Amino acid sequence: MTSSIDKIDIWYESIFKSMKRKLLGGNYDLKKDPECELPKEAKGNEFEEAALNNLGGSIAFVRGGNLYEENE
Amino acid sequence: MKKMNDSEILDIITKSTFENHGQRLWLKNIRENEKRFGFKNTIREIKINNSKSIVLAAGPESKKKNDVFKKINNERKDITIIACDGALSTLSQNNCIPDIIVSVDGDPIIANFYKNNKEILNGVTVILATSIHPDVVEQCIDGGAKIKWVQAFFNCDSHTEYFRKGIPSMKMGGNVGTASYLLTSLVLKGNPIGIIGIEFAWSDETPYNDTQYYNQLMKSLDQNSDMAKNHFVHIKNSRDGKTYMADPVYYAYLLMLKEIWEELPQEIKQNTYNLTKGGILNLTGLNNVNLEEFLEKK
Repeated sequence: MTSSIDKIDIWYESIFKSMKRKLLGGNYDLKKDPECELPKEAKGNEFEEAALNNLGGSIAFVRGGNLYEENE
Repeated sequence: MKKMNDSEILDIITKSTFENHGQRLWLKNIRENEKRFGFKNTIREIKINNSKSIVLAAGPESKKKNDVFKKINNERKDITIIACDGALSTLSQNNCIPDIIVSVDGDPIIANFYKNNKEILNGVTVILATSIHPDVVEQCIDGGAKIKWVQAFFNCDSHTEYFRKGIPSMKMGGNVGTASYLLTSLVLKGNPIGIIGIEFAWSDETPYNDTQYYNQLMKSLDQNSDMAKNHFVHIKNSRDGKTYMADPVYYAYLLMLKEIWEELPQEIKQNTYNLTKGGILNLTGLNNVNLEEFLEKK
């Protein structure tokens, strides 16, 4: 059984593996790092669709759309 | 050479979050919570006595200010306090019982905040996302808290199994601090709203290995500390002249709040005050005042 700490590890390991190319400094060199995949450019609601397709949770990073709905 | 912009950073973090967290944990939590506890009471029922509100998060800089609670406690009866779960131990240590506590993260580790601070839960309203871990719900019930449910935006055709009709949906911004602020402004109609401890960063003097996700970062970078350091963003804060640093996850939280901020009604933005000098929270038009000035507001 996976512990809660392991789950966090898996989550963040995945995030940081995806970001292994020093995202924030901008050193993203495909010649040096040919295995890197460039992310697709966001177009309108594409981000939100992708997020929903992968399913969000209560801490979902859904972009765009409404802020609040009553759902009565 | 490709330079990544902020939007692309958010894309990557979002994708990783959903793939690794959403499908496994959140749906399981929703189903179990529904079966065991029901989703009877929602945030729609919450009424606050004082519209003047303080959202209290657990940012590292604000924890260092010991005099904050002395001032808040002096004015306590005139303020509604909405606390993030991570701030519970600080509240407990300072004999400050919040009106409302918020939890949105689906991991069972969140239950420890409630388990370790049960003395301040009795009668307090706790807002829980439907995807919260059932251990959290158990601890809240055991402590005598009143639970009110909220859910993320699940009401799209392809994910109806996650959506529960009758429960309000709210954008959460990826973290409990942003979710607490949005609940306070959009649902509780707080006015004015003071924010304490939403910092998204550590002091630049903090050793990298003291930051929250450093070990995971090192693990994914083959224990290369130089590479790990390069993943931190360093930002100078013009309010206090100090430099702060954020890891990619914290930085993404800031970017997300910036996007949400642009969508908020102008009236809400005008009535929001950041009461913490430290950190990297910097939003266009956000008021920055000290706690004393905020407490004097009517």
